Amino acid sequence: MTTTAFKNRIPGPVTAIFQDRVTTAFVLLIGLFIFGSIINPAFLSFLQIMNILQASFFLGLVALGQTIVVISGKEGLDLSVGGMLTVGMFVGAAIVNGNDAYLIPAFLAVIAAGFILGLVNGFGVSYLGIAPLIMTFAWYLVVMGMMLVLTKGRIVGESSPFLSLLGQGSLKINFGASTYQIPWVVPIWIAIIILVSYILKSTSIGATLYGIGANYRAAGLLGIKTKRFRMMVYGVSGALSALSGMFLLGFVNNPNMSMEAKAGYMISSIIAVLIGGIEFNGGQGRYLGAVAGSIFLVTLTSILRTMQMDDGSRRIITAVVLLVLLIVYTRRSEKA
Amino acid sequence: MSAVTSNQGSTFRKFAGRIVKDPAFPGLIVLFVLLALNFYFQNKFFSYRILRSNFMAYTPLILVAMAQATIIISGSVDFSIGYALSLFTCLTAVLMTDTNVLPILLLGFLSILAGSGIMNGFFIGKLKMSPLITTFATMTLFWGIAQTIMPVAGGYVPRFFYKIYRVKVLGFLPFPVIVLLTAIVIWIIFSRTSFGRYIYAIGSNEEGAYASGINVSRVRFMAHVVASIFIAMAGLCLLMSMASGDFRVGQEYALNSVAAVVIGGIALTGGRGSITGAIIGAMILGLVNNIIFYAKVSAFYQGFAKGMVIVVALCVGGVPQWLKSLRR
Repeated sequence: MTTTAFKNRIPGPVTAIFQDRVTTAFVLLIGLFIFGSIINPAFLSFLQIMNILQASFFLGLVALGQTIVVISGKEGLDLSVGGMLTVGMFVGAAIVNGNDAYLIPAFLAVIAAGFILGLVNGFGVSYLGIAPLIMTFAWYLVVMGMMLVLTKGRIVGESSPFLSLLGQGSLKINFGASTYQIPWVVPIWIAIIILVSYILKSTSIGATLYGIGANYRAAGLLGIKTKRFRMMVYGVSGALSALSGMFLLGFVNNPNMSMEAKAGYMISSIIAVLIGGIEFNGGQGRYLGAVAGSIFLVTLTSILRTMQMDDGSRRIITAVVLLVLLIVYTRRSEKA
Repeated sequence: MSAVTSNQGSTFRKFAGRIVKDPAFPGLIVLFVLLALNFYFQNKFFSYRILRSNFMAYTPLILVAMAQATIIISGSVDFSIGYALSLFTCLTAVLMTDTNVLPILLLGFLSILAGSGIMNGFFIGKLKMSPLITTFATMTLFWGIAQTIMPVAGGYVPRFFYKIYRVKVLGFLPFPVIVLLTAIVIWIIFSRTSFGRYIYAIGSNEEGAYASGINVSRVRFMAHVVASIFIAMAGLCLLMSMASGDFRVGQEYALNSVAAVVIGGIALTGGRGSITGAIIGAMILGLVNNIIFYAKVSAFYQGFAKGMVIVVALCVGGVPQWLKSLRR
């Protein structure tokens, strides 16, 4: 009796908030921040939030590539993001090598390298009909192998002063008596978010992306070159991951390559997309959701670190959070 | 008389035709080419000792590929396979002493059955959660548990127990082959029941299967449970061959098993392919490692070469279709 009354209730403001997945992601994020501030009162300070945003940027850029690949549908997924990130890091370091003068060519080369390597993924997926899951993973192995051949496992090159400023430096703003430090990557990220949201929402490229993801066949019948577009999507994803690697180079100064870190980016970007409410069936979702997802993941890791948890326990908690979210999301989309 | 021979000819042709049309056929050819290559680089390849050591090395991957094949045919996929293996080795190696080998093995089997089989099966089959993402989550879970149990590789495995892996049964059959044969027998038994037909049905056409009265949830659940038996067997082989536990050991198995399955001609969309294909695919991956090692490829090139072989093996199937579309 009471349950039916509950079900037929007109959606109130609370239910309305949870109807939009991006809003849900941000509500989850705020909840996590509140939880963090209970654990450690210093957690909600301006400085701490900026630090988290700075650390989230690199994942956020990789998650952008993952987002568009997932939106493009047909079980789209890019497991090679970690490899492209490494390529970006090493190519960038080799070209810049501590000299600001080579910064622009380096950025162009990094983007081109990521794009071309991503296109191979796209060609296999789109023209040869290989499942994205396995194609992108196999190509990831090749790309990582290629990096090992080229570098012989040594560290080649380093970041330049300006790139390091972009990656780790902050913008100092005097406001009244206090000084606020905003990391450079934060305004860069905001600009990227605005640009991407505009492209996805209001241009024909965005419309094509959602169209292909929602109904590949119909998009083809409308005269869109679906195969070529789908290949390009993987290329762009590769370019974005490589670009993230370039910024990451500015953050850590020297390129390094630990397998677990690369696998970490692959898994984290997928989880960020999931938390952001982007449907893995394609054709739906917004980048802002993945942004919230990236920040959520970095915040969660940071909170668990302050609680002095080891790697294993951190993984267990991340997995449990993920499973709970998955169950809730699945239940809800079934009801809808 | 001549009628009989022509009849025989046609049955042979039928048989040959069936093999050629089998989705695992390209894999079979690649396997023969690799065997020849392997023989070229390693002349003693067909000697008993080398074959036995190869079986010891490949059996875990073959078993895991069989598990992945069962799951993929039913229209699902399992990424948590690798870390389920890690969990098995960590859990058993940490608890084992000289006197409690069997109970601990039983505990390991049951935890894989519960974690990998029942939990994944429940989430994917009953709750209809996306297999890919769900198993990513359970993978992280198994990874975390294994790492918590044993942050540094080690543990204790009694000598008499891991020596069993090196035993020649009846004087000539290597122990891993016995494990493999057991798994194949288990599979044959399952494939003769209605379950064997149902997993193909729900994999190729879920709505159709549902409409014809198949309990899709339960069959998919069972696919994960049956696969977890193979996973536990793979864990056992891995534990005996390493004689220790390590949470990193499973890292490569998840995607390698998917690669093996795809190379073996099993469609990732489900409903198509055979367990034989998975076994062929796993052997191909193993042989590639072997060839790269014996062809004295520099260590720096090994990852690249291995990845390239997988990419080429994957692409071969798609190229004719692409060329056809170009001509149009």
